[in-house]
Amino acid sequence: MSTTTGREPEAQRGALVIGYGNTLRSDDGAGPFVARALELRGPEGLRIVEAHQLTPEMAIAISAAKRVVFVDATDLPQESAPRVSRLEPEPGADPLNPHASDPGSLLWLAKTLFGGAPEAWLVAIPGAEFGFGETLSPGAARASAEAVIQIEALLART
Amino acid sequence: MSQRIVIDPVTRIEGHAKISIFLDEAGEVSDARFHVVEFRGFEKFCEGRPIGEMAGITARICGICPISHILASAKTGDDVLTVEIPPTADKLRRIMNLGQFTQSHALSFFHLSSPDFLLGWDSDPAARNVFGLIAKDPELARAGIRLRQFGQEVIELLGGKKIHPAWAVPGGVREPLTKEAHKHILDHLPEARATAVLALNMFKKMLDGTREESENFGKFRSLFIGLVSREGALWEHYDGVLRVVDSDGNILVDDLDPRRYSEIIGEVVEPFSYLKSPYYKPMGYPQGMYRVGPLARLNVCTRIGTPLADAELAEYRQRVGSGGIVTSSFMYHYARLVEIMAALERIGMLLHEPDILSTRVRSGGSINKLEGVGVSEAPRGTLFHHYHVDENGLIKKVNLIVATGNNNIAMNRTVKQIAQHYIKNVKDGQIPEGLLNRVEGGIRCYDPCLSCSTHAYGQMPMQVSVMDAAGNVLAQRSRD
Repeated sequence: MSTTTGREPEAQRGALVIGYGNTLRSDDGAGPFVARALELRGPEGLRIVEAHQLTPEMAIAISAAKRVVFVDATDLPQESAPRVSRLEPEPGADPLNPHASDPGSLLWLAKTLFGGAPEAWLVAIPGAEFGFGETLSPGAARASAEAVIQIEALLART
Repeated sequence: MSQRIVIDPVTRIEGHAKISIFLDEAGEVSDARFHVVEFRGFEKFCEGRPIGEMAGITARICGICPISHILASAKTGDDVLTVEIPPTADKLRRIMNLGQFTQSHALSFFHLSSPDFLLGWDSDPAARNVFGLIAKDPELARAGIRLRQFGQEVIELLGGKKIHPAWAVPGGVREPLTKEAHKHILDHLPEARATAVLALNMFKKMLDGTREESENFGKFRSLFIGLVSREGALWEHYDGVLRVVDSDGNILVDDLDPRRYSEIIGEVVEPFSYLKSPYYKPMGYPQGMYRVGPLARLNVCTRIGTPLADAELAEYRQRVGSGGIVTSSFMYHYARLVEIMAALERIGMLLHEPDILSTRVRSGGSINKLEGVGVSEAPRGTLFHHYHVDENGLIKKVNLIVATGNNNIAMNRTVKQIAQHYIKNVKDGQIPEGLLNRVEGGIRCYDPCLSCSTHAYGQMPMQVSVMDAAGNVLAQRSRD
């Protein structure tokens, strides 16, 4: 997995994908699963972070990116397709607390402290199983594969 | 009628806990307790697993300090395999632990505790948080995030990822340090050191205004336990020998092989908490109360062994310890900053070792002993892993004494001291929020890590309930 320090020169700045979740909690690992899949496919100019939780220092990398996609699992067993939504900087949850942080508050932190406000989206993968386990349920696996294609298309837009 | 006040949950700590304050019939504090309300069960469910998996499994105890468990577990594996790890592996493990100290201490100081220092204990609780901190001093908030980033980068560059890297293993480490990573860390050390200086200067300027906290946030006599180096009893974080000192600076135990920890440390389980209460055996329970972590490490060592940190240590001892032992738990915050400087200087020293890029980083071995102990210093204090295995290396029994647990008796004592000092003559359960924040602040001195890999779901409002001895609620309120 590529390391994103947020200290790259301007010319290297591009799209950033942050896939996060607990890979020991079945479908909660959908975010990291999508991140790994994207890295294997290797789209040019795309930097990828796979993480257990959102952490405050990610704000530095976010501020340096032009576009950011957060990929997370969501507890929506009745749905089958990933849900894509636009994100805005929002001082909601405590962005310095890895347990409480959310994409909107990290975007707010990036904008407020590090002066960067990239376009951002959340891709939510519907999950059904969140018990102990290292594999995705069939539904979450299908949605994750679909999310990979959707993210590539999203980032390919000019 | 006697009353009980509950602070549930305690905020700005890692994990879930609550505090009960018991009032007598006159409305004065008669007792106070710190409860840890989670049960994890790692000691039990590790049974049957191969010893080689233990570093990866026990790392899941914590999302903030997984490195501590990885290293203690790998050292336990070294003991079972009876191997001497390659010198470069020893240095790389040390660098990773120092990166962990840096990021963990930065989180504690800049993000969890500084709102109290900068905004005031009695300030509006709605603004006494990270948003208030950013509004008040954005440069400090920015520097804190960058310092934490530096520590995380050290871990990630060595281990491949920031949280739970299964990199240290029995016999050494999986991967050597790359030239690129070596350069990256060295290049960013100066900025990290500058941030440490910024934080130290800020705290030292504040010292005169914190006399009341210093006198009442856990200022009492106790023992102090920590690792020191084998030669010269220098500040140690990864290996070395155990030393025990008292509040007068008398050395009660010295040069103790950490494998013999059970000769001096016993554990009691109290009915009000899932956190065990370790104590110094020769003095019994609870008289054998001791403290670990930054405050203790600076009390047990002779010096740190690096120039900037040694200068800070000398000033620290002079200003808050009358030249000797520092007994106020409020000074954990100050000690943490001195340790950040120590960690950064040590990282720099280690990176200049001639063999630091060597690729000989793992020794081979097989099960040569059926019992092993691994002890290291976590950011919050001394961490003990003790495993029994069978001939195939499968775990038969595990004992873990986690860093925070060592401070359990002292944390309870601190809560009681603060409550008795600040909370007086309570009528109808009405206590100003700022006073309850000070009680929580007493716990935050220790930066307890109560199993942060347990997910918090949704908001965690602080609930304060006032109850009589029969459990009847007299008053209740909460804040988000």
